[in-house]
This record gives sequence, structure tokens and C-alpha cells, in this order.
Amino acid sequence: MTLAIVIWFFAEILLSFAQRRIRTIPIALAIVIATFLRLDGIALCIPAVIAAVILHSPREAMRQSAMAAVIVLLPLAGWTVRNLAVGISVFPSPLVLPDNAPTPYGYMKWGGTWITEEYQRMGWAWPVNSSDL
Amino acid sequence: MIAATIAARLPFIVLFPFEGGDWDIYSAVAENILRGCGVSLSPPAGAECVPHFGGNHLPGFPAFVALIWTISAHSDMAIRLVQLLLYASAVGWMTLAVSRFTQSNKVAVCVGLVMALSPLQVAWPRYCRPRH
Repeated sequence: MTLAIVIWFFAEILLSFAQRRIRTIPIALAIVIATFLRLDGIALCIPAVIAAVILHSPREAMRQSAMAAVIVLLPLAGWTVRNLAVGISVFPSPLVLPDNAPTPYGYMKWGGTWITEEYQRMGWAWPVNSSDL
Repeated sequence: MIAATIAARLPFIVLFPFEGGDWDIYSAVAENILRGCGVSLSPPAGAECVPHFGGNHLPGFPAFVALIWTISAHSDMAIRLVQLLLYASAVGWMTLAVSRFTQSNKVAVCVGLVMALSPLQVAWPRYCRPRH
């Protein structure tokens, strides 16, 4: 699903270059959907801003970026308000456990004492993320 | 291009469907959305509904799963198939975008075929996960 949205996003960037104007609304919508699927989707803002700067004057690039920022931030702000209203953190947990178990900060600190690369996370962090544990 | 994308991936979905990984988290949130509990990681079989940030990420994927389950009688296969259709549509749209950008249908077809048939990509839709 995220792959599909990212491909859609970069297709919109290419179409922007083909049309010589940034396609602000579809690009912003793709960023919103990508971010609601995976938080790192917000990083798509970077190529979008670069494309706007290449395609437009600084003033127009800023105007288009501001419009996109409003579209991207509105749903995120809505979700933040919801989280505040129900009394939970507005930031994601670094390791989510099933059945509302609290984040295992001590376990994560222990993992940090010996893992040396990202691939070791599969054997250390992901197993506790499963209901099979 | 859309047909090629679907044809290359459908056998993996039908013959080797897989969940695994953090599916437990996503499916629990989706179950809770379906039963009217909202975005929660409480055990779906219980009565409790403790609000949650959204699972591993924001609740986009659990909401998508809940929507597909609503219209497909709780079918995990339907999730994979809809993911495949969305991916194939994106490949078709990218092919069109490349064609307009390069003014060359040959280049667009080459890019589309690589995306449709890449061995690095074809097996991913068998998973029920947001990144695939």
C-alpha cells in the first residue's frame, strides 16, 4: 500500500515537471496518505519542496509549499487533538506491544547495549511485537 | 502495464499468502475500529477500549483493513487483492507520467515493465502489511 502511494507521489512529481507547474493538491494528498500509513511518509515533503523550488520562483514556491503544508498538517493536527483529548501521548511509542502493554523501555536500553546494526533488530525487537510471544 | 503488474503478483498472493510481522498489531487495531471501539490496542475480544496512538504507526493501515473487512466479510485475501489493485494502478499512473515527462512511449513502457516485473517487487503483495 505504501509502495503504491510513493509511486503515485513520484508520478505526480514527474507530471509536475511535464506540466511545468507543481501539482500541489495531489502531491499533498499523497503525503498525507503515506504519513498515515507509515510515519516516515512525512519525508516525502523534501522532494516535493525541492520540485516546487525548481519549478517556480521563490515566492510562488513558498506559496505552493504553504498550501501543501496546510493540507498535510490539518489531518495530523486533528489526530494530535484527538490524542490529547483522550489523554495519550501525541508521539508514537518506539516499540508497540500487543494488548496495550506499556513500552518496554528497559528492554530497549538492554538491546542498545549490544546491537550494532539494524538487521539485529529482527531477532531482538520484532519478536516481542507479536502476540505469539 | 496494469495487467502485467497484476499477472506477475497474483500467483504469489493466491499460492503463498502470508501475514506475520507486526500484523498482530495492525489487525487488533482494525478489529477494534470494526467493533466501534475506535483506534485501540485493547484485546478485541474484551470489553475494554483503551485509546491508542494508532498501532505501530498512525491508523491509516488499520482503517484501510477495517474498510476492506467491512465490504468483504472479514477476508484477509481481499486486503491483499485491493493492495495489488492500488499498486497496479500506481504503476499505470507512473507509466503515464513517464510518457508525458519524457515524451517517449518507449521509455515509459520500459520503466513500466521494470516496475511491473521486477523480481525485487513481485512477491511483496502476499503480505498484509502497510509497506507492501
